[in-house]
This record gives sequence, C-alpha cells and structure tokens, in this order.
Amino acid sequence: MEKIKKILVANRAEIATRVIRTASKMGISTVAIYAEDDKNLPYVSFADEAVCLGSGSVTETYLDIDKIINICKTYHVDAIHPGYGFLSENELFAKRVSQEKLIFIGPSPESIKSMGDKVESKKLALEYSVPVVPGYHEQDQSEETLLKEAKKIGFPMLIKASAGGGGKGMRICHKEEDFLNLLSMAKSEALKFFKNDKVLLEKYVTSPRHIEVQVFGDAEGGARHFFERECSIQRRYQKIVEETPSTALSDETRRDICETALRLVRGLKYSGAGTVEFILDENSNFYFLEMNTRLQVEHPITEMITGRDLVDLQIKIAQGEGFNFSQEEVRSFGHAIECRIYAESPEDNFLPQSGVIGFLGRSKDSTIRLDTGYEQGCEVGINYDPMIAKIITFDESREANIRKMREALRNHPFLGMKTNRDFLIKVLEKDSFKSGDYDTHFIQENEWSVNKIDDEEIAALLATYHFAREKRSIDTNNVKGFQDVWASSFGWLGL
Amino acid sequence: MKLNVNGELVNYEVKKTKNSEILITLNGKEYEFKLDQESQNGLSLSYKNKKIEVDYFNSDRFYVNLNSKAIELSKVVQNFSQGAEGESSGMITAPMPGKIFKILKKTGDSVKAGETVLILEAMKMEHEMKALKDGSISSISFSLGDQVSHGDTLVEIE
Repeated sequence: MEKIKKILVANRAEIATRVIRTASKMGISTVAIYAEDDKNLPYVSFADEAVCLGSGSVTETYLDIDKIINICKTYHVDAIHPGYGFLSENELFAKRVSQEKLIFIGPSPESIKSMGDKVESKKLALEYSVPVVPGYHEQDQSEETLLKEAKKIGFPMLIKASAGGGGKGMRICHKEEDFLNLLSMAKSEALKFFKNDKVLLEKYVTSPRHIEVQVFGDAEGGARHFFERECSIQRRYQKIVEETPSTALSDETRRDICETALRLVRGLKYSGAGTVEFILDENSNFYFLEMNTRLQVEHPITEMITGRDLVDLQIKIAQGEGFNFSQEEVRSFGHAIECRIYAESPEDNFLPQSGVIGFLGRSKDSTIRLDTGYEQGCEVGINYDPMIAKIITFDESREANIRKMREALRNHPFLGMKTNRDFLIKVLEKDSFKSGDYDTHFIQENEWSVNKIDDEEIAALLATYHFAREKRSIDTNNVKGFQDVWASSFGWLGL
Repeated sequence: MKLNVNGELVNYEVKKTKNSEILITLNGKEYEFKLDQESQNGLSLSYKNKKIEVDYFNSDRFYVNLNSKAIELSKVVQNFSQGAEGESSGMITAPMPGKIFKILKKTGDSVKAGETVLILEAMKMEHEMKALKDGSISSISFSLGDQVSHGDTLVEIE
C-alpha cells in the first residue's frame, strides 16, 4: 500500500485550514492553492507550499481543473483533497484526477455521478431498500391517473411542476375534494412559467426535520456510520445551526436510520466520506433526500461526539486502508452544536455583507472549537461564500451545551461588518429550540425581534467610544512612526 | 455632539470628570462611567457599581459588542443628496458591493415604483434593484459588468 506523502488542497479558507491541520498531524506535506485576492488568508502560509492561481472569476481559479492538475505535477503531489463546494462533487474532476494517476480523496467518479443526479439517486435508493418520499413521477398525466395516484400517496400532498423550481407551479393539497381544482391551477401555472404542464405528485410532510447520517465506506466494502446530525435550522435552504444527537430520534429510529444509510453505502460500494440526507416526518418516518459525496461543513459536531478525526479517516481510506475498528466501537458521547457565522444582515433577508474582520472575539473557554479560514485583519470579500467561521461546542448534556454555545457567541462578536451572530443567539434562546421541538420551518415561523438598545446601553457605548478615542491618541503619541497606519486603517476616529 | 447608533441619530453631551471617569448626558439624564480595565479590543466599565464589558473595533465605523448585541456607531455625515429626501427623489443605491449583472432599462425609460431596473450580482446571488417611485430614468451610472461599492448611486429617477 502506497502511503500518501503530499496533498494538494483544492479549496480555500476554512476547509483548507481544516484539511491542512490533519494532514500535518499525519506527517503529510501540503500544498495550498489560492486566488490572488486570497493571498493574505492564513491557510496560504499554514500549508508547506502555496501556489497562486492568479486572479479572475472562480472558473479561472479554484474551478480550473487544468491549472490544478498542472500544479500537482509540478509540485509532485500524490493526492488531492477537494474540501466541500468547488470541485468536490464534480465527476469529471474526480475522473481526471485518477487518469493523471493521482489519488482523489473522495468517492469514485461513478458514485459522485449517480448520487449527483436527482432521479438516478432515488432510483438507486429504492433498489437498496432506502425509502424515498412517496410520489408519482410518470408520463401518464390524465386526471384519472393523477387522482388515483394522489389517493395512493395520501393527503396532504404536493402537486409540483416537473420542470419547476422556486415554488412556481406548486400547490399543497390537503384533501381529495380539492385535488382536481388545484391540479388545474398548478398545470396552468406550470405552462405559463415553464411552457410545460407536466406535474409530479409527492407526499407533503407538514413538519419536516432534516436529519443526515455521516457514513464512510472503505475500499474493501466495509461500511460505518457515525450517527446523525440534525440540520433543521435553515435560512434560504442553507443550514446555520446543527446539532447531534437529534432530539427527534428515539434509540430505535436512530438505529434504523443509520442502518438504512449503510444499506446505500454497501449497495453503491461507496468509498470515502459521505452524508445521507433524510427528511423525517412527525411520525418518525424518514425518506431519502440525497447523498452528499464529500465532507460536510458541519462534520465537526460528529467529530466531537465520536472523538474521531474524519479528515484523518478520509485520507487513510483514500490510500487504501480498511477500517481498523468495528461499528460497535464507534460510540457517541455528550452533545455537540455548530453555529455558522455568516457575514450577512438578518434584518435584510440575510443579505450578504463584506468588510474587514477587526475583532473575532475572546475564547474564555478552551473547549470551544473555532474553525475559521480568517484571522483578524482579513477581508471578507464578495467573490466567495460569506461564511466567516464555525463555532463548535461540546458538553455532557444538551442543556449545558446550549448555555456554553450562547456564552461562546457572546464572546465572539466578529466585529467589522454585519454578521448573523446576534441572530444565532436569538435562535438558541427560542423556547422551541430549547425544548428541541422544531422543524425546518423554524426560522420562517418564529418572530425575530430587532435588537433594542436602551439609553443606559447607548451611554455605555458613547463612553466606550470616547475612552477608545483617548486611548488611540495616547498610543499614537507613544509609538512614533505608527501615526500613518493608525490614521489610514482606523479611519474616522482620528477626526 | 451627534453620532449614529445603528443608523439612529443620537444627541448627547460628554464631559471628562476625572482621568478614568466620564459623564454622558443623554435625553436629559446623566450617566457616569468609570473605566476599570482596558485591553486591545475591549474595556470594562462600571456604572453605579455594575460591571459592563465592551468589545470594540474601529474602522469605517466604530463596531461594538455589548450585552450580546453587535452595534455600529458612525459619524453623522451631511449629505444632501441622500437619506430620506434621496429616496423620494428616486435614487437607487447599491446596498452592498457587487457587480452589475443585468440592466433591464435604459435612460429615458419610464418606470413604476417596484419595477426592477437592474440586477446586482454579489456573493453568488442576484439582487433586484427596484425603482422606489414612478418616473423616468434620468441616468444609469454604471455599465454591465461594472464593479460597484456599497452606497454607490446606481440609477436616478425623475
């Protein structure tokens, strides 16, 4: 078995930092790649070697397959870690990497392809006895057939335009009597928006929870799960708070959902890290949504409760090692939460923001994990994802852990631009979050108050402002030659 | 003195009493703070024996973290072409830095309030920039593909 000696991380910022950390620990050297505008990010200097991809759009930098392959050859790299996003689920990239006799730290191109296709992945899921959302996706569009199928699926159910998206040509039908009427509405809307009135039918889950299972497969056909992650707190279909274990699963359902995920891993002869996403209904029925064929943003919470380094495992499997532990030896302990800090304005429909991170915060508790690709002074620009950092906390009980996370958020304000930090604190303070009784509608359905600042607080702010201004003038008097720096980067306080 | 606190105008008076004490007068009430400790990006104050911890960062604005709230202080800028009057006079300004992705109207076109004039692309998303009032477009300051900064006037409607 050939050991990996040098890894190129085909990604940036947070996940690049994360992969480099584990690779270094394993004694593997690392090559970072970076676009010109990322040259000051810490991961660039953190890697053993770093290569600039030039400037331009991402297709000319992080998505430029030829450029990346050439760098691998020049720098004698033997494996590529794609991180998440960018090329991580690109079948052609994975294929090219193996054609070039390099190791792709991820699953086979075939697995990426089949799981990347919405229709194909569901077909395969059914083949391996993984339940999918009951529905009707066939050609016969007669009213009689559709009504018959609708009754089979049961109510409430969704009528969706086949060519649709964004809620256009979609209707929720709660009872049989309404079906034909809603069907004609959905069809005419579909025709108007997509020039195609074909519809599909699907069971509608009133109170869905997003539960995913972390899985791994090895080259010898072994399969392991690392329990579930609850990811129902979402805005704009993107997760912002994740926790494990989920409060929604009984021990029995947990065993069941994890076993089900493993059936897919075995069926696909899947190798590497993957996540099988499910939707869970009020009656603990779960249905396959999709499989992500990469490491997930929220993988750290799984690492916290299982005590295992998932990047380490990814690398070992990529170099052909089998699991050296049984499923029974994968144990979970305690409770973990991840909160994603985004540069965005929650009051403004989560509109992304940009700026310079001036002050991340203070870690008063050494058990708090802060995964970030930035450091103080770094710019969060408009060309990339606005996620600044992930805060991950762990404690014995969920209740204590929520308290710990609240404290961690309080101490990490990420000053320098608008962020969702205050919003995350409000999420953790909602009764339905505290009780664990929430679903994917959580953010839409709750009322979100705007911060109120009372006069005493305003006075304290003004006092801080004036004390800080005074401190600045003392500092600049004492440190000769620094005046210019202060004047330019500390802008208007100088007045 | 005047400052904007999260965009709201605040009028106040400030008086240094002792070296580490400050008196703020706000809405007719006096608040006296004592400075207990200072660090790189923060300080602790006491007010009537109550401890208050504040983090701050100073750049284009004065960013503060107080009682789990991120708050922005900014200078009051006199700008007659913007603000409340600017809105009713029909200016569309960039809410964030980005790139002009699509221009749907041209100078001289008439528009209705709520109609999209151009689309700004930023952070992998498209943002529709809508007219705030009925009128005709007197100028579009950028072309397709141009990079714009936060606050730039994109379109003027008469």
